[in-house]
Formats: sequence, C-alpha cells, structure tokens
Amino acid sequence: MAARNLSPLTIALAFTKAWASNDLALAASFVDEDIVFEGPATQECAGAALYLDDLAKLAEGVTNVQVLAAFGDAHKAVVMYNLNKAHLGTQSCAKCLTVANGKIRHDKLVFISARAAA
Amino acid sequence: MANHHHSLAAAPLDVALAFTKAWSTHDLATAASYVADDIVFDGPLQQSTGAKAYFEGLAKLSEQVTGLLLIAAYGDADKALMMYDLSTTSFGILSCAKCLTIGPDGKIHRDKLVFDSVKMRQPGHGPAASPVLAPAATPAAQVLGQH
Repeated sequence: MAARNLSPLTIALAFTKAWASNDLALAASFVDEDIVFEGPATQECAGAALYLDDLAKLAEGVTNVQVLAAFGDAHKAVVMYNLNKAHLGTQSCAKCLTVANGKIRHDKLVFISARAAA
Repeated sequence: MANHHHSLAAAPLDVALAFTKAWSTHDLATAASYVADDIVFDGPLQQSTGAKAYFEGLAKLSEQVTGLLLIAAYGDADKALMMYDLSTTSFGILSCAKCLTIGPDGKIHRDKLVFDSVKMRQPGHGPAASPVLAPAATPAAQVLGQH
C-alpha cells in the first residue's frame, strides 16, 4: 500500500519503528523533502538531508523503543515512547508529526534530557 | 484532595483538557477534583506517588504559568495524550507532552510528563534557588482551547 493511503498514526508508528531499528532507508521514505524539525531549545532544522543526518545520530546505539501511547487524526499523530540506548539508559520522548500525502512535513520533539533522582 | 466525583461517563480526553485548563489558569481546587488520591507521577523533576506530593509539584509549576498553547490532544477509553507549549515567567516556553491514565471513576491515576528541564537546571535555577519555588509575579493568561 502506498504511504499516501496510510493514516498519520500508521505512518508515525512505522517511521518510529524504522529509525529506531536503524532502517534509515525505510524511515526516509516517510519524510518529506521540506520537513521542518522543531526540537527542545534552539534545535531546529529544515530539509530532509539535515533531518535524516540528525536522525541517524539519534538512532546510533538504540536497542529498542517502547511506545507508551500513540494517537492520531487525519493530519497529525502524537507518539510518546521510551527510547533505550546502549550505555545511556532510557530516555522518555514524545513526537508530534504532521503528515500530508503520506509524508511527514513537521516533527516537533520533546524529551527529557536529564532526570532528577527519585 | 477534593472529594468531588466527576461523571463516570466523562471521556479521558475531556477530563485531561478540563484538568489542564484548571491548573494552567491557577484554579488548583478544580484541578484537584480530577486527581485520584493514589496518583503516580513520572516527570523529569519529580517521581512520586500520592496526591499530596503531586499537588506540591503542580502548584509550583502553576505559579509560573502565563499561558498554555495546546498543540495536539487525543484520547481513548482510558488514556489521554497531549502536547502543549507552556509559557512561563522564568523559563520562557516549555514544550511538554503529558499522558494521563484515567480510571472508571473519572480521576487521573497516572501522569507521565515529558519535557526538557535543562532551563530549570541552569545556574541560579537549581532546586535550592529555583524561581519555581517562589510566587509568580505575572497573572496567567488563558490560551487553552484549540485542539
């Protein structure tokens, strides 16, 4: 099935599974050329090349992703997940992806960069 | 905690939106009415069990809030997931994601909060000197509404 026929939630979950398992070619197939990324603080970029470069760095050392919650509608999907990385432990993240014509046009990421002791 | 019992039919998303609007506009009494006594909270600055500890943390954050812009909000039969930008007096805009688990009683039993707390960890904003602990100087604005 062509990605343009998939729901934003289906695309978000397939994209997350792909990059988290280091299948960056598959992940790239869901990304629009003009994607805009909005991360914590001043981490922002536009364009698929920069976005996928950063995604490749993030994917290094990922051992698995545990999806905690995922919802979507006709235009957007939000996924909250725990990212487990070798030597770095677990990092909680959430993404809001805006999808059009089967491609991710906007990615807003929030994550916990440091955690206070319980 | 308030003993108000919300409608059993209230959808988790409705509970989440009402709760979020309440605490972000400094109406902590209304916010408390949505919270179960045994709430489990998991956030970057606090992990706790019980409504007392939960509200101590929420009250400190609420004092800081000047506005909240809802970016996305969804729910099903027992959860709600939201992303929003929180405007604060001391830390600027904090982008947050919150997943709330709602029981059949219409109360929030679990809250997982994700945001980058690095701005709160910078010099002068440590736990001992955090403006989060001080009263806010700016009244809250109400931006909540779109979703």
